[in-house]
Amino acid sequence: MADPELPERPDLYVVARLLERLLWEARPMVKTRLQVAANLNYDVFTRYLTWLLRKGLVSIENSPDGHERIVLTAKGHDAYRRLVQWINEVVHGAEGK
Amino acid sequence: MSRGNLWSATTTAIVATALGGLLWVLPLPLLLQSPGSLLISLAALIVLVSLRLPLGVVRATPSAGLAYLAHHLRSASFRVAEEPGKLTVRVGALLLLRFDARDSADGSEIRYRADLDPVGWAGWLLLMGLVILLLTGVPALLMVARLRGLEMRVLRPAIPADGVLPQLSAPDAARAALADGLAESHRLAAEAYEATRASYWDLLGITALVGILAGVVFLFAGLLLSPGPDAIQRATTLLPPAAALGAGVAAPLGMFVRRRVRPRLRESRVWAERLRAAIDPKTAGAPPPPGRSRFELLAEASRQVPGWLEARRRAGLSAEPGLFSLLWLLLGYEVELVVVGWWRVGEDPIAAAGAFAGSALLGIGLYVWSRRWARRQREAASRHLAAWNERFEGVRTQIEAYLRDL
Repeated sequence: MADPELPERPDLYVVARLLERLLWEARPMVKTRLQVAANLNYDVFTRYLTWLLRKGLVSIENSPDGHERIVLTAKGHDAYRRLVQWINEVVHGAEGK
Repeated sequence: MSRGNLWSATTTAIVATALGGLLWVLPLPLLLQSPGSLLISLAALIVLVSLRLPLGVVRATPSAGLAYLAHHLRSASFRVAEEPGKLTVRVGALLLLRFDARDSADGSEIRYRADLDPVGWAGWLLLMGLVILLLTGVPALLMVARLRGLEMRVLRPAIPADGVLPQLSAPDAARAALADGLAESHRLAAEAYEATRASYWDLLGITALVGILAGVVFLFAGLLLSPGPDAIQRATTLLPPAAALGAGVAAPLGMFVRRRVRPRLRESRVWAERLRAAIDPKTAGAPPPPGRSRFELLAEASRQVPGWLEARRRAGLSAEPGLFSLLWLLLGYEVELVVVGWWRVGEDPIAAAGAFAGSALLGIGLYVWSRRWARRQREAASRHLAAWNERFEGVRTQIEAYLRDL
Protein backbone atom coordinates (compact mmCIF):
# COMPACT_ATOMS: atom_id res chain seq x y z
CA MET A 1 0.00 0.00 0.00
CA ALA A 2 1.37 3.44 -0.88
CA ASP A 3 1.93 5.69 2.12
CA PRO A 4 -1.02 8.08 2.18
CA GLU A 5 -1.13 11.18 4.33
CA LEU A 6 -2.27 10.17 7.79
CA PRO A 7 -4.99 12.12 9.58
CA GLU A 8 -3.41 14.54 12.07
CA ARG A 9 -6.38 14.52 14.37
CA PRO A 10 -8.39 11.46 13.44
CA ASP A 11 -12.14 11.90 13.46
CA LEU A 12 -13.44 9.93 16.43
CA TYR A 13 -16.65 9.03 14.60
CA VAL A 14 -14.82 7.64 11.57
CA VAL A 15 -12.45 5.59 13.72
CA ALA A 16 -15.36 4.25 15.78
CA ARG A 17 -17.38 3.50 12.64
CA LEU A 18 -14.60 1.36 11.19
CA LEU A 19 -13.84 -0.41 14.47
CA GLU A 20 -17.53 -1.04 15.17
CA ARG A 21 -18.18 -2.46 11.72
CA LEU A 22 -15.29 -4.89 12.16
CA LEU A 23 -16.43 -5.73 15.67
CA TRP A 24 -19.78 -6.91 14.35
CA GLU A 25 -18.22 -9.13 11.69
CA ALA A 26 -17.61 -12.70 12.67
CA ARG A 27 -14.90 -13.06 10.01
CA PRO A 28 -12.24 -10.81 8.44
CA MET A 29 -13.85 -8.29 6.12
CA VAL A 30 -12.92 -7.54 2.52
CA LYS A 31 -11.52 -4.02 2.21
CA THR A 32 -14.08 -2.76 -0.28
CA ARG A 33 -16.94 -4.07 1.84
CA LEU A 34 -15.59 -2.23 4.85
CA GLN A 35 -15.24 0.95 2.79
CA VAL A 36 -18.85 0.71 1.64
CA ALA A 37 -20.10 -0.14 5.13
CA ALA A 38 -18.26 2.86 6.57
CA ASN A 39 -19.54 5.07 3.73
CA LEU A 40 -16.13 6.67 3.09
CA ASN A 41 -14.56 7.66 -0.18
CA TYR A 42 -11.47 5.76 -1.25
CA ASP A 43 -8.92 8.43 -0.22
CA VAL A 44 -10.33 8.95 3.26
CA PHE A 45 -10.79 5.23 3.76
CA THR A 46 -7.17 4.53 2.75
CA ARG A 47 -5.85 7.20 5.09
CA TYR A 48 -7.83 5.90 8.03
CA LEU A 49 -7.04 2.29 7.27
CA THR A 50 -3.33 3.09 7.20
CA TRP A 51 -3.69 4.94 10.49
CA LEU A 52 -5.50 2.00 12.08
CA LEU A 53 -2.85 -0.40 10.79
CA ARG A 54 -0.01 1.78 12.10
CA LYS A 55 -1.65 1.94 15.51
CA GLY A 56 -2.13 -1.83 15.56
CA LEU A 57 -5.91 -1.63 15.88
CA VAL A 58 -6.53 -3.72 12.77
CA SER A 59 -4.46 -6.12 10.71
CA ILE A 60 -4.62 -7.38 7.14
CA GLU A 61 -5.02 -11.01 6.27
CA ASN A 62 -4.24 -12.21 2.77
CA SER A 63 -6.77 -14.79 1.71
CA PRO A 64 -6.39 -17.44 -1.03
CA ASP A 65 -8.90 -15.59 -3.26
CA GLY A 66 -6.44 -12.70 -3.55
CA HIS A 67 -8.55 -10.21 -1.56
CA GLU A 68 -7.07 -8.35 1.34
CA ARG A 69 -9.23 -8.79 4.42
CA ILE A 70 -9.26 -6.62 7.48
CA VAL A 71 -9.61 -7.96 10.99
CA LEU A 72 -9.83 -6.23 14.35
CA THR A 73 -6.88 -6.94 16.66
CA ALA A 74 -7.09 -7.40 20.43
CA LYS A 75 -5.86 -3.81 20.74
CA GLY A 76 -8.66 -2.72 18.40
CA HIS A 77 -11.27 -4.45 20.55
CA ASP A 78 -9.85 -2.80 23.62
CA ALA A 79 -9.72 0.61 21.94
CA TYR A 80 -13.37 0.44 20.89
CA ARG A 81 -14.46 -0.71 24.38
CA ARG A 82 -12.50 2.15 25.97
CA LEU A 83 -14.09 4.73 23.68
CA VAL A 84 -17.55 3.41 24.51
CA GLN A 85 -16.80 3.34 28.22
CA TRP A 86 -15.65 6.94 28.21
CA ILE A 87 -18.88 8.05 26.58
CA ASN A 88 -20.77 5.84 29.03
CA GLU A 89 -19.15 7.72 31.89
CA VAL A 90 -20.73 10.91 30.59
CA VAL A 91 -24.15 9.30 30.24
CA HIS A 92 -24.19 7.18 33.38
CA GLY A 93 -23.03 9.93 35.70
CA ALA A 94 -25.44 12.45 34.23
CA GLU A 95 -27.80 12.52 37.18
CA GLY A 96 -24.96 13.28 39.56
CA LYS A 97 -25.63 10.19 41.69
CA MET B 1 -38.54 -15.25 45.53
CA SER B 2 -37.39 -17.50 48.35
CA ARG B 3 -39.99 -19.81 49.79
CA GLY B 4 -40.15 -18.04 53.17
CA ASN B 5 -40.47 -14.61 51.66
CA LEU B 6 -43.01 -15.78 49.13
CA TRP B 7 -45.11 -17.07 52.00
CA SER B 8 -44.67 -13.83 53.93
CA ALA B 9 -45.75 -11.75 50.93
CA THR B 10 -48.68 -13.99 50.04
CA THR B 11 -49.82 -14.26 53.67
CA THR B 12 -49.71 -10.48 54.02
CA ALA B 13 -51.89 -10.06 50.94
CA ILE B 14 -54.36 -12.77 52.01
CA VAL B 15 -54.62 -11.45 55.58
CA ALA B 16 -55.20 -7.93 54.26
CA THR B 17 -57.93 -9.23 51.93
CA ALA B 18 -59.57 -11.23 54.74
CA LEU B 19 -59.41 -8.36 57.24
CA GLY B 20 -60.77 -5.92 54.69
CA GLY B 21 -63.65 -8.28 53.88
CA LEU B 22 -64.35 -8.92 57.57
CA LEU B 23 -64.43 -5.22 58.26
CA TRP B 24 -67.20 -4.74 55.72
CA VAL B 25 -69.19 -7.86 56.68
CA LEU B 26 -69.32 -7.09 60.40
CA PRO B 27 -72.02 -4.63 61.52
CA LEU B 28 -69.55 -1.86 62.24
CA PRO B 29 -70.15 1.87 61.74
CA LEU B 30 -69.11 3.25 58.35
CA LEU B 31 -66.77 5.65 60.11
CA LEU B 32 -64.75 2.65 61.30
CA GLN B 33 -65.06 0.60 58.12
CA SER B 34 -63.80 3.20 55.66
CA PRO B 35 -60.60 4.40 57.41
CA GLY B 36 -60.04 0.86 58.72
CA SER B 37 -59.99 -0.50 55.20
CA LEU B 38 -57.59 2.25 54.13
CA LEU B 39 -55.26 1.50 57.03
CA ILE B 40 -55.27 -2.25 56.33
CA SER B 41 -54.47 -1.61 52.69
CA LEU B 42 -51.68 0.79 53.53
CA ALA B 43 -50.22 -1.56 56.15
CA ALA B 44 -50.26 -4.48 53.68
CA LEU B 45 -48.53 -2.36 51.07
CA ILE B 46 -45.90 -1.14 53.53
CA VAL B 47 -45.17 -4.73 54.60
CA LEU B 48 -44.89 -5.82 50.93
CA VAL B 49 -42.52 -3.01 49.95
CA SER B 50 -40.40 -3.58 53.07
CA LEU B 51 -39.71 -7.28 52.44
CA ARG B 52 -36.22 -7.85 51.05
CA LEU B 53 -36.35 -10.87 48.79
CA PRO B 54 -33.08 -12.76 48.23
CA LEU B 55 -32.54 -13.51 44.55
CA GLY B 56 -29.31 -15.48 44.58
CA VAL B 57 -25.60 -15.53 45.29
CA VAL B 58 -22.94 -14.68 42.72
CA ARG B 59 -19.23 -15.37 43.05
CA ALA B 60 -18.22 -11.76 42.50
CA THR B 61 -18.08 -8.46 44.35
CA PRO B 62 -21.43 -6.76 45.04
CA SER B 63 -20.78 -4.07 42.42
CA ALA B 64 -19.78 -6.65 39.77
CA GLY B 65 -22.89 -8.72 40.58
CA LEU B 66 -25.17 -5.69 40.25
CA ALA B 67 -23.44 -4.55 37.03
CA TYR B 68 -23.96 -8.02 35.55
CA LEU B 69 -27.64 -8.02 36.56
CA ALA B 70 -28.10 -4.47 35.19
CA HIS B 71 -26.72 -5.54 31.82
CA HIS B 72 -28.90 -8.65 31.78
CA LEU B 73 -32.06 -6.70 32.59
CA ARG B 74 -31.25 -3.99 30.05
CA SER B 75 -30.82 -6.70 27.43
CA ALA B 76 -34.33 -7.86 28.37
CA SER B 77 -35.60 -4.31 27.62
CA PHE B 78 -36.09 -3.16 31.20
CA ARG B 79 -35.29 0.41 32.20
CA VAL B 80 -32.48 0.21 34.74
CA ALA B 81 -31.14 3.13 36.78
CA GLU B 82 -27.77 2.51 38.43
CA GLU B 83 -26.54 4.16 41.58
CA PRO B 84 -23.56 3.11 43.68
CA GLY B 85 -24.53 -0.14 45.38
CA LYS B 86 -28.07 -0.33 44.03
CA LEU B 87 -30.23 -0.70 40.96
CA THR B 88 -33.75 0.52 40.32
CA VAL B 89 -35.66 -1.35 37.63
CA ARG B 90 -38.98 -0.15 36.25
CA VAL B 91 -41.54 -2.90 35.66
CA GLY B 92 -44.56 -1.60 33.82
CA ALA B 93 -46.14 1.74 34.58
CA LEU B 94 -46.28 1.67 38.37
CA LEU B 95 -43.98 -0.98 39.82
CA LEU B 96 -40.28 -0.60 40.64
CA LEU B 97 -37.82 -3.25 41.79
CA ARG B 98 -34.95 -2.01 43.96
CA PHE B 99 -31.90 -4.29 44.03
CA ASP B 100 -28.91 -4.26 46.29
CA ALA B 101 -26.08 -6.70 47.04
CA ARG B 102 -24.17 -7.50 50.20
CA ASP B 103 -21.05 -9.55 50.91
CA SER B 104 -21.69 -13.17 51.77
CA ALA B 105 -19.47 -16.20 52.48
CA ASP B 106 -19.66 -17.35 48.83
CA GLY B 107 -19.44 -13.95 47.16
CA SER B 108 -22.36 -11.51 47.10
CA GLU B 109 -26.00 -12.01 47.83
CA ILE B 110 -28.31 -10.09 45.50
CA ARG B 111 -31.63 -9.02 47.00
CA TYR B 112 -34.52 -6.93 45.86
CA ARG B 113 -37.67 -5.38 47.14
CA ALA B 114 -40.74 -4.18 45.32
CA ASP B 115 -41.75 -0.55 45.44
CA LEU B 116 -44.26 1.72 43.75
CA ASP B 117 -43.26 4.83 41.88
CA PRO B 118 -44.89 8.14 42.97
CA VAL B 119 -47.71 7.65 40.44
CA GLY B 120 -48.29 4.17 41.85
CA TRP B 121 -48.42 5.41 45.45
CA ALA B 122 -50.70 8.33 44.55
CA GLY B 123 -52.92 6.02 42.48
CA TRP B 124 -53.11 3.44 45.25
CA LEU B 125 -54.04 5.99 47.91
CA LEU B 126 -56.56 7.64 45.59
CA LEU B 127 -58.12 4.27 44.84
CA MET B 128 -58.35 3.47 48.53
CA GLY B 129 -59.83 6.89 49.23
CA LEU B 130 -62.41 6.75 46.45
CA VAL B 131 -63.37 3.09 46.12
CA ILE B 132 -64.05 2.32 49.72
CA LEU B 133 -65.72 -1.00 48.96
CA LEU B 134 -62.71 -2.42 47.14
CA LEU B 135 -61.30 -5.46 48.87
CA THR B 136 -58.12 -3.89 50.06
CA GLY B 137 -55.85 -6.90 49.80
CA VAL B 138 -56.67 -7.78 46.19
CA PRO B 139 -54.16 -5.34 44.65
CA ALA B 140 -51.54 -6.70 47.07
CA LEU B 141 -52.29 -10.24 45.85
CA LEU B 142 -51.96 -9.06 42.24
CA MET B 143 -48.62 -7.48 43.11
CA VAL B 144 -47.34 -10.72 44.66
CA ALA B 145 -48.47 -12.67 41.58
CA ARG B 146 -46.67 -10.17 39.32
CA LEU B 147 -43.47 -10.42 41.36
CA ARG B 148 -43.57 -14.21 41.34
CA GLY B 149 -44.06 -14.30 37.55
CA LEU B 150 -41.18 -11.87 37.02
CA GLU B 151 -38.91 -13.82 39.28
CA MET B 152 -39.55 -17.10 37.49
CA ARG B 153 -39.35 -15.63 33.97
CA VAL B 154 -36.64 -13.01 34.22
CA LEU B 155 -34.84 -12.68 37.53
CA ARG B 156 -33.99 -16.28 38.44
CA PRO B 157 -32.62 -17.17 34.98
CA ALA B 158 -30.37 -14.09 35.21
CA ILE B 159 -28.40 -15.57 38.13
CA PRO B 160 -26.12 -18.48 37.09
CA ALA B 161 -26.90 -21.66 39.07
CA ASP B 162 -23.31 -21.99 40.27
CA GLY B 163 -23.04 -18.27 40.96
CA VAL B 164 -20.07 -17.86 38.61
CA LEU B 165 -20.53 -14.87 36.31
CA PRO B 166 -19.64 -15.67 32.69
CA GLN B 167 -16.39 -14.16 31.44
CA LEU B 168 -17.09 -12.04 28.38
CA SER B 169 -14.81 -12.26 25.36
CA ALA B 170 -13.24 -8.98 24.17
CA PRO B 171 -15.84 -8.42 21.40
CA ASP B 172 -18.70 -9.29 23.77
CA ALA B 173 -17.36 -6.93 26.44
CA ALA B 174 -17.24 -4.10 23.88
CA ARG B 175 -20.78 -4.86 22.65
CA ALA B 176 -22.05 -5.09 26.25
CA ALA B 177 -20.55 -1.68 27.10
CA LEU B 178 -22.23 -0.19 24.02
CA ALA B 179 -25.59 -1.80 24.83
CA ASP B 180 -25.45 -0.48 28.42
CA GLY B 181 -24.66 3.05 27.24
CA LEU B 182 -27.47 3.04 24.70
CA ALA B 183 -29.95 1.61 27.23
CA GLU B 184 -29.06 4.27 29.80
CA SER B 185 -29.36 6.99 27.14
CA HIS B 186 -32.76 5.59 26.19
CA ARG B 187 -33.90 5.72 29.83
CA LEU B 188 -32.89 9.37 30.14
CA ALA B 189 -34.48 10.28 26.78
CA ALA B 190 -37.70 8.42 27.59
CA GLU B 191 -37.97 10.06 31.01
CA ALA B 192 -37.38 13.47 29.44
CA TYR B 193 -40.13 12.75 26.91
CA GLU B 194 -42.54 11.62 29.63
CA ALA B 195 -41.76 14.68 31.77
CA THR B 196 -42.24 17.05 28.80
CA ARG B 197 -45.50 15.33 27.88
CA ALA B 198 -46.80 15.61 31.47
CA SER B 199 -45.86 19.27 31.52
CA TYR B 200 -47.52 19.85 28.12
CA TRP B 201 -50.84 18.36 29.19
CA ASP B 202 -50.73 20.21 32.51
CA LEU B 203 -50.22 23.50 30.68
CA LEU B 204 -53.09 22.73 28.33
CA GLY B 205 -55.24 21.88 31.35
CA ILE B 206 -54.35 25.18 33.01
CA THR B 207 -55.16 26.96 29.74
CA ALA B 208 -58.59 25.34 29.67
CA LEU B 209 -59.16 26.33 33.31
CA VAL B 210 -58.21 29.94 32.55
CA GLY B 211 -60.72 29.91 29.68
CA ILE B 212 -63.46 28.49 31.90
CA LEU B 213 -62.66 31.00 34.63
CA ALA B 214 -62.85 33.89 32.16
CA GLY B 215 -66.26 32.65 30.96
CA VAL B 216 -67.59 32.19 34.51
CA VAL B 217 -66.40 35.65 35.64
CA PHE B 218 -68.04 37.19 32.57
CA LEU B 219 -71.25 35.30 33.29
CA PHE B 220 -71.45 36.37 36.92
CA ALA B 221 -70.46 39.95 36.15
CA GLY B 222 -73.13 40.03 33.46
CA LEU B 223 -75.74 38.63 35.85
CA LEU B 224 -74.91 41.24 38.47
CA LEU B 225 -74.82 44.18 36.10
CA SER B 226 -77.58 43.44 33.60
CA PRO B 227 -81.12 44.57 34.44
CA GLY B 228 -84.17 42.32 34.36
CA PRO B 229 -86.08 40.19 36.88
CA ASP B 230 -85.59 36.74 35.26
CA ALA B 231 -82.10 35.50 36.20
CA ILE B 232 -82.42 32.29 34.16
CA GLN B 233 -83.29 34.16 31.00
CA ARG B 234 -80.38 36.57 31.54
CA ALA B 235 -78.02 33.65 32.16
CA THR B 236 -79.25 31.94 28.98
CA THR B 237 -78.61 35.12 27.02
CA LEU B 238 -75.17 35.56 28.55
CA LEU B 239 -74.06 31.94 28.12
CA PRO B 240 -73.04 32.06 24.42
CA PRO B 241 -70.87 35.20 24.78
CA ALA B 242 -69.37 33.75 28.00
CA ALA B 243 -68.51 30.53 26.17
CA ALA B 244 -67.11 32.52 23.25
CA LEU B 245 -65.01 34.62 25.61
CA GLY B 246 -63.71 31.47 27.37
CA ALA B 247 -62.80 29.89 24.04
CA GLY B 248 -61.31 33.19 22.85
CA VAL B 249 -59.05 33.34 25.90
CA ALA B 250 -58.13 29.63 25.97
CA ALA B 251 -57.51 29.14 22.24
CA PRO B 252 -54.59 31.60 21.78
CA LEU B 253 -53.08 30.49 25.08
CA GLY B 254 -53.37 26.87 23.95
CA MET B 255 -51.78 27.73 20.62
CA PHE B 256 -48.96 29.49 22.41
CA VAL B 257 -48.35 26.49 24.68
CA ARG B 258 -48.53 24.15 21.71
CA ARG B 259 -46.03 26.22 19.72
CA ARG B 260 -43.63 26.44 22.65
CA VAL B 261 -43.74 22.87 23.92
CA ARG B 262 -44.57 20.66 20.91
CA PRO B 263 -41.16 20.97 19.20
CA ARG B 264 -39.40 19.91 22.42
CA LEU B 265 -41.90 17.11 22.87
CA ARG B 266 -41.37 15.87 19.31
CA GLU B 267 -37.60 16.09 19.60
CA SER B 268 -37.42 14.11 22.84
CA ARG B 269 -39.81 11.51 21.41
CA VAL B 270 -37.65 11.11 18.29
CA TRP B 271 -34.58 10.60 20.45
CA ALA B 272 -36.34 8.07 22.67
CA GLU B 273 -37.54 6.16 19.60
CA ARG B 274 -34.11 6.21 17.91
CA LEU B 275 -32.46 4.84 21.03
CA ARG B 276 -35.28 2.35 21.58
CA ALA B 277 -34.70 1.02 18.07
CA ALA B 278 -30.95 0.74 18.74
CA ILE B 279 -31.47 -1.41 21.84
CA ASP B 280 -34.33 -3.48 20.45
CA PRO B 281 -33.29 -7.11 21.01
CA LYS B 282 -34.53 -7.95 17.48
CA THR B 283 -32.01 -5.64 15.79
CA ALA B 284 -29.34 -5.00 18.44
CA GLY B 285 -27.32 -8.04 17.37
CA ALA B 286 -27.18 -7.02 13.70
CA PRO B 287 -24.34 -4.93 12.23
CA PRO B 288 -24.92 -1.17 12.19
CA PRO B 289 -26.47 0.30 9.00
CA PRO B 290 -23.99 1.52 6.32
CA GLY B 291 -22.40 4.85 7.07
CA ARG B 292 -23.61 4.94 10.65
CA SER B 293 -22.42 3.47 13.90
CA ARG B 294 -24.11 2.92 17.20
CA PHE B 295 -21.13 4.64 18.78
CA GLU B 296 -22.07 7.82 16.91
CA LEU B 297 -25.60 7.50 18.19
CA LEU B 298 -24.32 7.06 21.75
CA ALA B 299 -21.92 10.00 21.42
CA GLU B 300 -24.66 12.24 19.96
CA ALA B 301 -27.08 11.10 22.66
CA SER B 302 -24.53 11.94 25.35
CA ARG B 303 -24.56 15.55 24.11
CA GLN B 304 -28.35 15.67 24.58
CA VAL B 305 -28.16 14.60 28.22
CA PRO B 306 -28.16 18.11 29.76
CA GLY B 307 -31.27 18.95 27.71
CA TRP B 308 -33.01 15.81 28.92
CA LEU B 309 -32.19 16.57 32.54
CA GLU B 310 -33.40 20.12 32.00
CA ALA B 311 -36.67 18.78 30.55
CA ARG B 312 -37.24 16.78 33.70
CA ARG B 313 -36.48 19.82 35.86
CA ARG B 314 -38.68 22.08 33.73
CA ALA B 315 -41.60 19.72 34.15
CA GLY B 316 -41.40 20.69 37.84
CA LEU B 317 -44.13 19.23 39.99
CA SER B 318 -45.78 17.65 36.92
CA ALA B 319 -42.94 15.15 36.95
CA GLU B 320 -43.46 14.46 40.66
CA PRO B 321 -46.99 13.05 40.79
CA GLY B 322 -46.84 12.37 44.53
CA LEU B 323 -45.96 15.97 45.42
CA PHE B 324 -48.26 17.26 42.69
CA SER B 325 -51.23 15.35 44.19
CA LEU B 326 -50.34 16.63 47.66
CA LEU B 327 -50.19 20.20 46.39
CA TRP B 328 -53.65 19.91 44.80
CA LEU B 329 -55.01 18.30 47.97
CA LEU B 330 -53.73 21.19 50.10
CA LEU B 331 -55.02 23.73 47.57
CA GLY B 332 -58.40 22.01 47.86
CA TYR B 333 -58.28 22.45 51.66
CA GLU B 334 -57.37 26.09 51.20
CA VAL B 335 -60.41 26.71 48.97
CA GLU B 336 -62.57 24.73 51.39
CA LEU B 337 -61.48 26.99 54.27
CA VAL B 338 -62.44 30.07 52.24
CA VAL B 339 -65.86 28.56 51.49
CA VAL B 340 -66.36 27.64 55.17
CA GLY B 341 -65.33 31.16 56.22
CA TRP B 342 -67.75 32.70 53.73
CA TRP B 343 -70.52 30.40 54.95
CA ARG B 344 -69.98 31.23 58.63
CA VAL B 345 -69.25 34.94 58.32
CA GLY B 346 -72.79 35.96 59.25
CA GLU B 347 -73.42 33.66 62.19
CA ASP B 348 -69.95 33.16 63.65
CA PRO B 349 -67.50 35.89 62.59
CA ILE B 350 -64.69 34.59 64.82
CA ALA B 351 -64.84 31.10 63.26
CA ALA B 352 -65.03 32.72 59.80
CA ALA B 353 -62.00 34.87 60.56
CA GLY B 354 -60.15 31.75 61.75
CA ALA B 355 -61.01 29.94 58.52
CA PHE B 356 -59.87 32.91 56.39
CA ALA B 357 -56.65 33.22 58.41
CA GLY B 358 -56.03 29.45 58.10
CA SER B 359 -56.61 29.62 54.37
CA ALA B 360 -54.25 32.60 54.02
CA LEU B 361 -51.58 30.89 56.11
CA LEU B 362 -51.92 27.69 54.08
CA GLY B 363 -51.70 29.68 50.86
CA ILE B 364 -48.60 31.56 52.00
CA GLY B 365 -47.05 28.33 53.26
CA LEU B 366 -47.70 26.58 49.95
CA TYR B 367 -46.31 29.52 47.99
CA VAL B 368 -43.13 29.70 50.08
CA TRP B 369 -42.70 25.92 49.93
CA SER B 370 -43.18 25.77 46.13
CA ARG B 371 -40.72 28.66 45.61
CA ARG B 372 -38.14 26.97 47.80
CA TRP B 373 -38.70 23.64 46.06
CA ALA B 374 -38.27 25.26 42.65
CA ARG B 375 -35.12 27.09 43.81
CA ARG B 376 -33.59 23.88 45.18
CA GLN B 377 -34.40 22.15 41.89
CA ARG B 378 -32.75 24.96 39.90
CA GLU B 379 -29.65 24.91 42.10
CA ALA B 380 -29.36 21.15 41.85
CA ALA B 381 -29.78 21.36 38.05
CA SER B 382 -27.03 24.01 37.82
CA ARG B 383 -24.70 21.87 39.91
CA HIS B 384 -25.43 18.80 37.79
CA LEU B 385 -24.91 20.74 34.58
CA ALA B 386 -21.58 22.14 35.78
CA ALA B 387 -20.44 18.67 36.85
CA TRP B 388 -21.62 17.20 33.55
CA ASN B 389 -19.76 19.85 31.51
CA GLU B 390 -16.61 19.20 33.47
CA ARG B 391 -16.93 15.45 32.97
CA PHE B 392 -17.69 15.88 29.27
CA GLU B 393 -14.63 18.09 28.74
CA GLY B 394 -12.51 15.65 30.72
CA VAL B 395 -13.68 12.71 28.62
CA ARG B 396 -13.12 14.63 25.38
CA THR B 397 -9.55 15.45 26.44
CA GLN B 398 -8.98 11.82 27.43
CA ILE B 399 -10.25 10.53 24.08
CA GLU B 400 -8.18 13.00 22.07
CA ALA B 401 -5.06 12.13 24.08
CA TYR B 402 -5.76 8.43 23.71
CA LEU B 403 -6.14 8.62 19.93
CA ARG B 404 -3.01 10.78 19.66
CA ASP B 405 -0.85 8.57 21.86
CA LEU B 406 -2.04 5.17 20.65
